[in-house]
Formats: sequence, structure tokens, C-alpha cells
Amino acid sequence: MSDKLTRVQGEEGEELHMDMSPMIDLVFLLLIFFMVSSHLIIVRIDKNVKPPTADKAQVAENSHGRIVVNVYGFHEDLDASLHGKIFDEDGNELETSDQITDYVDTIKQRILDSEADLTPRLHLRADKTTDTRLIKKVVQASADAGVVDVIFGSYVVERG
Amino acid sequence: MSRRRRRAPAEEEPGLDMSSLIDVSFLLLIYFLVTSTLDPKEADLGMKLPTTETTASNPVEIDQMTIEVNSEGHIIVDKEVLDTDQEDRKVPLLAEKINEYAQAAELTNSQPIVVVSADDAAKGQRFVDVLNALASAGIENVTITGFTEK
Repeated sequence: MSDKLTRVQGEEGEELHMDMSPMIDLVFLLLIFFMVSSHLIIVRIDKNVKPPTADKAQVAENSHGRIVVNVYGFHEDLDASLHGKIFDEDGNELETSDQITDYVDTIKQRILDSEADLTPRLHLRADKTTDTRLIKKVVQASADAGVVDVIFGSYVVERG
Repeated sequence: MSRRRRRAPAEEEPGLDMSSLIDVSFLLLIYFLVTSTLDPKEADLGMKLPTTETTASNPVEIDQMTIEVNSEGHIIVDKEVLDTDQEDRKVPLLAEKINEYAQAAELTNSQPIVVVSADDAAKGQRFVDVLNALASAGIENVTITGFTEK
């Protein structure tokens, strides 16, 4: 009897421990999942542009040497005042072809002046609902600035 | 009794303090939770506009292929209307024509010359459909015509 009492008292005196290992396992699993599934941002994404779908498009590995131009479309979600507008990567509107040429030329010079041996490329993020005339306008203005490599931003799989 | 008390510390298991590791793990987890998005990755569809440079390795000239896209999104090659369904991303008839043209260019050891003439009102998606069909045939040198807006 006295032995039993001593045992019970001993157990009560011990500190209570919580087994943290399942939680750590779970945290690590979640951590690995998010590390694998997340991706680095290649270019600053303008959410107002819904790019077209092209299954032969290739996922970009880096953002070097890109001159980003966003061409807005005519979809209903977009404010009517923004329909068919053209913006640079920082959200400044490019109204005329000359402004586009100047912008492309400025970024091109910056890329060429950088230490790295890079070829300036036009990254055209044109909305799938935009008119081709706007795409042609940007491509021509870019060619006027001497940039002939064009990348069309697209999704590989269809989006709603 | 006194002997038991002296042995007790030696029998304790050495413990590793996991709290800092958990702190760091949680911080990283929160960081990735906040920064990651469910949006799909945007991909690149490359195209090179022709320049005035000429290459000596192309002695044979091949007739250029002109692809027209009208305002309704219909694709026309040599006055023949090929694909009319704007929702069809595959443009099968155009893809077939492009493949034939690319093979002919390969046989004659010449550079394929493709001109895309899209109507101003044609939608961006349709224009990219044509470029996508060209990319699947390995043609990246494309001329765009019909510039009207300055």
C-alpha cells in the first residue's frame, strides 16, 4: 500500500510534457509544401491584364533584360476608363507611340549599360480581349527603339 | 535513500531545446503562406521580328507564307478561310498548313518567312493563337504587317 502511494506521489511530482514532435512534423511538411509550390516573381504582374492562352509558351526562368509593357483589354471587370490603355511596368500610362518608344529606349539603354551581357527584350503583357491594333502599336514602337525580341506573356493552361 | 538521490541527476536524459527551431519554422511557414499565391505562372511566347541582317547560309529563297486574321477572328491563308471558331485554341487547319510550309522550307534548306497580317479589331487571343501555332512548328521569325496607328 505504502509503495503504491509513493509511486502515485512520484508521478504527480513530475513535470508535464507535451509531445511536440507531431506538430513539428506537420509544420515542416507545410513549410516544404509552400517552399516547393511558391515561385519567384519574374515580372511585376498587373492584375488588370488577363493574358491569352498559348500551350507552347515556356515558363520563364529569369526576368533579366525584360522591358515590360501592359496592354489593357476590354473585359467587363475592368473600369471602362481603362479600356485599351497601355502602361509601363510602374503603372505610368503610355499614350502615344513616341512615349512607348522613349520608354523602351530608356530601359534598353539601362539594360545595355548594366554589367551583365543581356539582350533587351520586350515583354508584352497584352490582355486577351485587347485589339490587335494596340499590340501592333507597341511592337512597332519597340522596333523603332531597336528592340526586336518580343515575348508575349501568356498562360499555358486556359483560365476562366 | 541518500544513494538514490545522488544517482538521479545522472539518469536524466539529455534534452535538446527545440523551441528556437520551432520559432524559425513558424516564421518561414508564415512567410510562405503570405507570399505564395494560387495564380498560375505566366509563361513566355517568344517571337523575333526580322531585321535587316541577312545570313549567308540561306541561298534558296522560299515563298513567304501570309496568314491573315480578320476582325471576326477568322484565319485566312492564300484567300482560303481555315479556322473560324474563335474558341478553338488549337487552330488545327492553320497548324497543318504551317507544318507543311515548315517542312517545305526544311527540304529546300531555307528560312521560313511568315507574315502575320491581323486586322486592327482582331482580338489579342486570336493573334496569340496564330503565334502559338507558329511556335509549335518551330517558327519564331515572324513579320507583322498592317501597322496603322501611330
